[in-house]
Amino acid sequence: MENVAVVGWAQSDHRDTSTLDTRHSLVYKVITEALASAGLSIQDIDIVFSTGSDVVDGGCISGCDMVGALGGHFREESRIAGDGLHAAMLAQMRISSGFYNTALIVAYSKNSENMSGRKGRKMSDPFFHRPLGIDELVVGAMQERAYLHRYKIAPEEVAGVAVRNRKLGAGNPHARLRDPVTLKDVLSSPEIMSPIREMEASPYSDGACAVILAEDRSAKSMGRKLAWISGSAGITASFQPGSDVITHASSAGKATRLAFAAAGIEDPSRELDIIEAGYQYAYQELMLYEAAGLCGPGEGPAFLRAVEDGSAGIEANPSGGSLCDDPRLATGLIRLAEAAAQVTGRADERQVPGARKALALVATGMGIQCTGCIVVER
Amino acid sequence: MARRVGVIGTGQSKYEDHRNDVNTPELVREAALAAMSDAGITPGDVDAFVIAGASGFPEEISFSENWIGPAIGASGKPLVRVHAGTNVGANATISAFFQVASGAFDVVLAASYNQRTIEDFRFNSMDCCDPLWDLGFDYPQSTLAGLQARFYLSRHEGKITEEHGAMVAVKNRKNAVLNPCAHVRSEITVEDVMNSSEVASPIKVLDCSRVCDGAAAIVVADEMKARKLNPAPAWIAGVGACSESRSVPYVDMAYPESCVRAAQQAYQMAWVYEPASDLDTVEVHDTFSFQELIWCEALGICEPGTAGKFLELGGSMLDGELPVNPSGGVISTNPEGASSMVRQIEAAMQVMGKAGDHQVPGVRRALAHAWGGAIQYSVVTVFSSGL
Repeated sequence: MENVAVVGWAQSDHRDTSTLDTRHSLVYKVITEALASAGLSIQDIDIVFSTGSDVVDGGCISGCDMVGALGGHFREESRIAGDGLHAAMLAQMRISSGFYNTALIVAYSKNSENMSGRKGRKMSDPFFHRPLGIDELVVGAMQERAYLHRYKIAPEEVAGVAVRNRKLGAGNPHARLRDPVTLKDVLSSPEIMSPIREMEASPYSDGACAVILAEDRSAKSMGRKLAWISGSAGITASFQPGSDVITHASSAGKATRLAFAAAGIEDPSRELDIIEAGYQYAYQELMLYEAAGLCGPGEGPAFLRAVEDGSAGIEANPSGGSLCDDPRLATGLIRLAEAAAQVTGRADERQVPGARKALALVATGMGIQCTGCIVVER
Repeated sequence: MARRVGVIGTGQSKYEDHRNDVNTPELVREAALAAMSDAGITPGDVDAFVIAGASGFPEEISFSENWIGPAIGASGKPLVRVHAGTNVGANATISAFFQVASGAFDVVLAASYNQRTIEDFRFNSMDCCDPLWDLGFDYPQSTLAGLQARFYLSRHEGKITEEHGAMVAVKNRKNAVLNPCAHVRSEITVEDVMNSSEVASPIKVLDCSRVCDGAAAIVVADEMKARKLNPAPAWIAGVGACSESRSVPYVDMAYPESCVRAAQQAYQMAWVYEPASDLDTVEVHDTFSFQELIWCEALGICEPGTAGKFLELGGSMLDGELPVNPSGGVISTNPEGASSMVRQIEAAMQVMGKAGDHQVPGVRRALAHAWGGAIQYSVVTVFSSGL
């Protein structure tokens, strides 16, 4: 199998309102920038993967009028659902099969042009759940309630996740929310679905991200520091909330185990320098750390405190993560771009000194049903 | 070095105008279980799943893969969904091919389906059009295909006639009578087609496929597993896919470049030099009758403008020198997003010698073709009985 490296990336400045950018120009700009960052031209790209949503775009097969903007003209353009991070994994397989040298992965969403909440609601089972009003947010609220109850976690601990991410996001020029908030701000923000508060939910944003992967030889010939993919996995768990133990993110548990095994990581909390996690609600960050084996069940809050005071030896979400901007479908791919930037020392003001190994992870779906993760290292 | 990959099982659901007896996961399950039983495996033996869904828009559900996955045994396993036009089922198989070829997984199941929740299909395909520029022109898929057929007829005036389109429909409907899986299984005559009402000139009702609900699934495995599970797998010898910008005036619809390039890629990989003689049978994506002729030319099976003659001389008949759509094609069975995978299934079955009454004798190499979008996506897969 060929080694695969992340050689270029770019992301938009994520915003909450529609700009003059159409989705075409949104992706075109990040692709142009990503190609420049890798020193490549579109002619060097063998295959394009894109991630977008017909429901967000408001059209059937919405990718078909974007082929040109995506760089897919006269090459294979393949569209993947879920998140761009999953597309990156398929791109990695294409390259490691030996048939392709380079792949461009693009993910975008323009949530501002969509009726708010519509997408989340349309995710649930149309026959049994939708008539009851069960959607992503409701399942998230039930999951948080169960999680807090089971491990006797105070609402302040969850609010603390938002405070911490918003503080980090202030240093990220791409982030949409760049003003720090206090614990009091978070706890007094309105409850959108008890116990989830507004500031604890990821803000749907407009944005795009492009990442370029290349095989061993072409990557090395670029003569720069590279982020090598050493492990990756994507897992989808049960669709029925409650058929698994709802307080444990089983998809994240299995996906990280597989990725760590491929990367030869035995003790993730000691070996990883960075974790970049994308998710929708603040409590999920704690559950994801537990599922990834960075700490034991219910120890998420304590682990985050250790991250905060430096005793954990790992930095979490130096970009501010998805609580500062959530261009859904691109959120996970942005985590990969951030992780690659960190291990190659190109993360500018949010650079963590000496970062060598990072985990990019995205958890999506009803009660974090799906997880994709990629380990990159220098 | 990539690993070799073979098709070890295929499955199709029952096709009906509307499958109101099942929901989407149940429909996909029908095909997936058939494919797994054909391969002699259970869901536990499958390492990863690929679901093909053309669009979440008509389905009124986003991320439908999460809904469908558990019904086919994908819970707790890697699962991805590919999107595209009607070529999406073929894309899913290609995705499964590379997942195995790369060494990431040994056994992968790809499934595709079509179940229309919105009754008015015309409205539905209209949604594909650009909301700002194209919607006002009011063209559904049949209008686009009408334009395509008109370009083709005028380019090859005197060589290709409207009757040639009718003859394709007649041939494929006749083949479908022999295919127990086909949706429409009744014969028609050239007069029937010519006298049927016009949809988008020169296309008439009987030049069109009839959209149905249904699902298809295909199981692929690496060489070692494939040999263990199936005495005669259909090896995937070549794959090619190419996209083109969606710009109706600039796409050469009568000889689509994306199709030419996808074929070149697949032929190169499968060592096909002379498609007309190196291939033993071909399944092309004939959503509309004229398209069979156009694809045969773009695939290099006939010279441009000669597909009509080839048809007239019986070359593409079931007993001809290169049978085209022995299954009856999309004209007879069109579960939209799954139709492209059905082409691969039929080509693979021909190679495995399992096509039953519509088996072409002695097939060693078979091709499956798919198109999608505004005639802008092309996928070509070549199956072979030997490595």
